[in-house]
Amino acid sequence: MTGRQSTRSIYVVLLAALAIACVLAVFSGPVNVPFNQMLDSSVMRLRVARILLGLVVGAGLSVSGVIFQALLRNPLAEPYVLGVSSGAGLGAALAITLGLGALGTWTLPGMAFAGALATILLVYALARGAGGSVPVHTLLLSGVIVSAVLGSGLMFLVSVSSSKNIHNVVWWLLGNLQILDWGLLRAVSVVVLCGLVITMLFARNLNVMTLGEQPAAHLGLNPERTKRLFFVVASLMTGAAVAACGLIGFVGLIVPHTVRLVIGPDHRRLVPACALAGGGFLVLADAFARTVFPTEVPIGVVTAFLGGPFFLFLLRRRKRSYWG
Amino acid sequence: MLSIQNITAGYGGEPVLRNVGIDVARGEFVGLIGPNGCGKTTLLRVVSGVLAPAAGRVLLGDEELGRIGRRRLARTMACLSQDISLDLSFTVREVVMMGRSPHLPAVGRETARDFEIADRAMELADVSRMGDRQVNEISGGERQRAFIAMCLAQEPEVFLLDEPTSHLDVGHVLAILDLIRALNREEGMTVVAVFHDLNLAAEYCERLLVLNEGRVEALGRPQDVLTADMIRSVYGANVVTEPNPVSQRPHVVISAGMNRVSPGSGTEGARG
Amino acid sequence: MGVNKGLLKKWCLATAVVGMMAALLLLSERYVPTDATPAGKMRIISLAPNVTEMLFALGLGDSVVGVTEGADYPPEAAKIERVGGFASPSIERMLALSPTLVIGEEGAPSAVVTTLHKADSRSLELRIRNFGELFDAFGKIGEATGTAGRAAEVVAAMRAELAEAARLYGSVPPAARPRVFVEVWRDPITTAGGPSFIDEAIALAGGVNVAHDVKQAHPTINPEQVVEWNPDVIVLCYMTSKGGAAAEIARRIGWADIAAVKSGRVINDIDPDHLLRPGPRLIKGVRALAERLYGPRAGERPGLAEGASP
Repeated sequence: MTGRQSTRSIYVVLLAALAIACVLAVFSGPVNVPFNQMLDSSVMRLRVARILLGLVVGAGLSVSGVIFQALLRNPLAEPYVLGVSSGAGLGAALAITLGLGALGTWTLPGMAFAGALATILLVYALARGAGGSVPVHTLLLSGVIVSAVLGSGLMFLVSVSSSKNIHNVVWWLLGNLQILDWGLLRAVSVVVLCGLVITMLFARNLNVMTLGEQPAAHLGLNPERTKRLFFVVASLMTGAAVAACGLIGFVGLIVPHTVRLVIGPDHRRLVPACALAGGGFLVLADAFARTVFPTEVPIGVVTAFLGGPFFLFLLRRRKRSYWG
Repeated sequence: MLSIQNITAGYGGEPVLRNVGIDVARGEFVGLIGPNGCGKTTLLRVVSGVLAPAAGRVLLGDEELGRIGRRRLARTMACLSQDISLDLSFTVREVVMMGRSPHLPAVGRETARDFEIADRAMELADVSRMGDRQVNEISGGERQRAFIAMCLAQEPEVFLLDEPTSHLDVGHVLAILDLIRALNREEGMTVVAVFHDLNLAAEYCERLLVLNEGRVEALGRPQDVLTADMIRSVYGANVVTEPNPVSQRPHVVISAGMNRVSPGSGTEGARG
Repeated sequence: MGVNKGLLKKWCLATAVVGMMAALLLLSERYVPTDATPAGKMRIISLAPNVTEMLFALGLGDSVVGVTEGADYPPEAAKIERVGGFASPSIERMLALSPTLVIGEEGAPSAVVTTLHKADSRSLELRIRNFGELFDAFGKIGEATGTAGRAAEVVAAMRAELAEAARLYGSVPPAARPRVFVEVWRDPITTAGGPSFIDEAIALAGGVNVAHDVKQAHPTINPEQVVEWNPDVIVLCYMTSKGGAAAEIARRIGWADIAAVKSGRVINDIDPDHLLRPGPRLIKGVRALAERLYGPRAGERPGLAEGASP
């Protein structure tokens, strides 16, 4: 395979990088935990939970990005392209401005997730055409429009809110990996892991879909059913990630492109590699954020700051086209 | 083998095809010709199962097309459509292997046999030496041959082709058509191909189906169907037909100035 | 022939557009509210809920003709006409109310202030970040509205309360003060740092803000940090489900060993506005905090309440 490193060596490198990221993250944070107390420490429990969340959310967002890029056949596609972020943001903002946000630990994430689901259903329903088919360009357009409408709803809420609520809404939207509840972590992990397994099982179909929907049908796929399955999987993973962490950008767009540059377009390899790379990257970015800044910094800022230059470096090294 | 019966089909609104039918025997090489917009691609889409007709049916063997599952259909019928994405960074080998998907279990890897079949398909299509090159980095002709190899990897009994030679130079055109003809003769593959070039259609096909505005205008052997009168009435072009000196098949001869439109008076050679 | 007509049309269109723009500009500059203001009557617009409270505290409630969304105290304020939200007051609505004075907090959009200058209305911008500035603000409002006397009374009363708190708790040595973590919001965890009102309120109430050394007023905090600080008391500044707060906090990963959690000293029944809104009710917040930290008999020289760390 010209230019493509052997798959096994890439997986080894990614796993090693992931392990190193986790180890670094365990030692990173505003609190200094003496080595001999590590196993017993409350702080360590918080850190481990945070690392696990980072792995799960990073993997979920990256693989969602891969799925949207394959199905929409557009390199600019990413997990929030169909409006999931606006819907979740609106759900969360409603929870906060209506005072429901604090009612229970699950109210805010629950309403954010509900917002995400409602958006997906709305976008899909709007894009439905003759005979139940959902043409991809219509879906994209529908997603952009719904996203804009919901986004303006969010802006309206913000404009009429008290300054305290504005502060809370904005900070939620900026995204962070704080996790205080094992139950929530479990819920997100289950959704993402199921999504990853399903995607990896049917990754070959993603390859065929990139040929186009009619060619894929000629090769024996049912394009509508395939699209539906993958969109549901990707949207649920994204919805769960956003509900738990707010909007973490950049990961779902850049990790797929970066990994594709190295491992190629075959989704059977790309999907697991992106899961590893996305998880490791987010954990590393969060560890960096926690140590360098005294207060919590929006994680999206750090991912862009760390990931952008690396991606550019990789892009310059490769002269040939990498998309497809 | 393939029985197309009374197909009326369209894309919502006015039907593009009206009551089109033909029975294609096993091992036959049929050409579809007709002016732009007459419904050739639409007919291929109906026959390949991706477009449901408003009326009529297609039988493959004695089974109705709608009743054959997509995967089973894809094991028997391959279709080279015009709209395969060109911007693929998959290698030629990877794309050809996609042709094996209908034969693979839903969740499973390819076996050595699949690789053998793919290799053979690449040999037939003469793309073996570019197996490791990306599809978006090879020439148009090589790409077309790669897609043909992909279709061949499906091990089809029926091969549908939509303008397989557009954008190709004469060398590639002849290479591809000779390959398909060889497969048709040596392996008994049934071929239905859309042609733009009437001379190619006449040379390679046993029968021609002429479509005009969604209806069957003529159906029969090239020598019976491809006449100057037919071409004038269907295409609105003035030509001369005479036998091809090598194969004796009909050959369409054109000459500059035969279709001049004079201003004011009715157009010479206009559609009858 | 055709060229001339086309050119003429273009000129007409251009003139019309320019004419419309000019008319709009001239008219907007000349806009004068139709109902004239009776001489001597004050019409005040308040651009922040805390300013509204302060106006009512000075007895100026009847003169307030416009408030922003969120002005909900005292109850009479809820009936006053709204002119928009905190971030987006509607200039039109304000002009239509013919204000003589507009009072806002630092941070209100400056276009508002400049426009109102033009409409013959005075404006006042206040900066309130601590008790000292709060008292100054009362003074400024008093001057601008001719109620300087009343303002001085209000300030004196507030100072007296704070002096009382200082008398009761000022001499508690730092080591004996309960260490307090105030959680302003949960997603992400936000607290009040050194330069905030809450920090001052905690100190006045005889406690110590664990986040005192953080330089921002409303920083987001890593929950690890809270575990390390190990506060004796946790105060929640948001409405949670009744009675569930302590259990909820105890369930948080790694928080079970925090002193406040172990002793159950999680407080969520102080009205958040008493701590977060920089106005006259902050005094109530200080008193409420003191009561929670030292027990309800706030008038006596306190022994430390049960559960407070020595």
